[in-house]
Amino acid sequence: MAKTRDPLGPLDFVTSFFAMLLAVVIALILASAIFGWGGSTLGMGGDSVCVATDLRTFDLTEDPYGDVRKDDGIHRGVSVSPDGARLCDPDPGFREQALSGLTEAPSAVVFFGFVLLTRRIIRYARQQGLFSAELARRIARLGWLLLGGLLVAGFLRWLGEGLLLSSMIDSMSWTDGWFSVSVPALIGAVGIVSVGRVMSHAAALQAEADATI
Amino acid sequence: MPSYQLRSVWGPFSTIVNLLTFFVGLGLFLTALIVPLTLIGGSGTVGIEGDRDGQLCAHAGDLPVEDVPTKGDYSEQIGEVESRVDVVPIELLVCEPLKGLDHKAVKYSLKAMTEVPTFAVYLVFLFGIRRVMIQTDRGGPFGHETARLLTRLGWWLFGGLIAATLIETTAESLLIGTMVKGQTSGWAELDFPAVMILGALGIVGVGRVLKQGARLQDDVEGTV
Repeated sequence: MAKTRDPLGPLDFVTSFFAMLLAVVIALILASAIFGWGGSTLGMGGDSVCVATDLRTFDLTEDPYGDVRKDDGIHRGVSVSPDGARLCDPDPGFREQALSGLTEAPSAVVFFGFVLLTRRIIRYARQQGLFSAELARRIARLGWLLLGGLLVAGFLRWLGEGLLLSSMIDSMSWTDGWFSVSVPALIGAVGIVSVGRVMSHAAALQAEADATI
Repeated sequence: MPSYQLRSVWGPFSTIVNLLTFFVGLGLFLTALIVPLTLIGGSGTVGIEGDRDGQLCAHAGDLPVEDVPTKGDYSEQIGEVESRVDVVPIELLVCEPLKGLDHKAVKYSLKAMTEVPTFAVYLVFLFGIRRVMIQTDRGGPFGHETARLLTRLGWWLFGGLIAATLIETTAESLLIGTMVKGQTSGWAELDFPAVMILGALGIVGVGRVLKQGARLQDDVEGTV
């Protein structure tokens, strides 16, 4: 009999690491709230609220920024410019704090929700065996949840950024946020749905084996 | 032969991989046409992502960003900023015109090394996954070769992404050093793609599960 390596080992290790990280983050949030340490949590509660934009056309090495070139040893012909800028409101109200939370919290919830559901699936697989119809269904459901979660989080981020930008710049509207979703993560989510399908075939195979042997 | 339908095993994932392979293939073909023209003409955009037309750029993390533009400087681009709002540059981009570039070969190589390694890792992975799907369509999802290939692809993605990040950060540091005396973007810019590395280990896990499925299939076929 060939040696069987734990198929869930690598994933178990990584998801345990992220689950521990989540526990530490929650502990820090609670400690921060109790002891009043301040600082920003998921975009909320900080002294200021910031939103990124993609402004990037300034040449800082032209006058009146000649000193930057001289002091920093920038070679002749080389230009320096910002690759985007952050707009910050140093005195945010409740609305700004909530909108800032909307730009960061949904993605974090999706990520940690995914990690926790993955851990539940690993635990289920260890208890009930690798090949069962219920496990296959759970994996496929996880894939669909991740797919939906990523899209919803992307939408909420876009909405939050747009509303924040419009509150900071007169000429911008609430539709000027930046909609971005990680394409590899989306493909990964569809991949998880497919893994669920493969596992349902494995469950059928297992049932066939159980009936035969 | 098991009674289930083999062709639908990977479902929409298979369609996505096929589409990606097509577009990446097309992109590589177009790049093969455009890059020589760019190098000969000394203009155009260098790099897969592209920075600025006619310039070669690198990200500088530790130049003194506090010296740079004020709110008023941005008003031409974005309109009137509310008086309470501060504008802070996120990161600086250091660029050099391609025309008259010194040490062109070295700088082009360094620029390529800031972007190509990750692309190469994903490219190999993409073609590997496509091969897995072709094998699955032919012989079902539970083959020993399919399981082995998928496990290897997972480890490739895991190690490849870590190595690519290290190479790209080093290349970016060296490139900055050719444009700004005594400057490097440095290891502070090291940014590993944690989610993809997590996904890579997930793929290793799926490969091992398929291996167990292959053994199960052997048992069923041996018994029947």
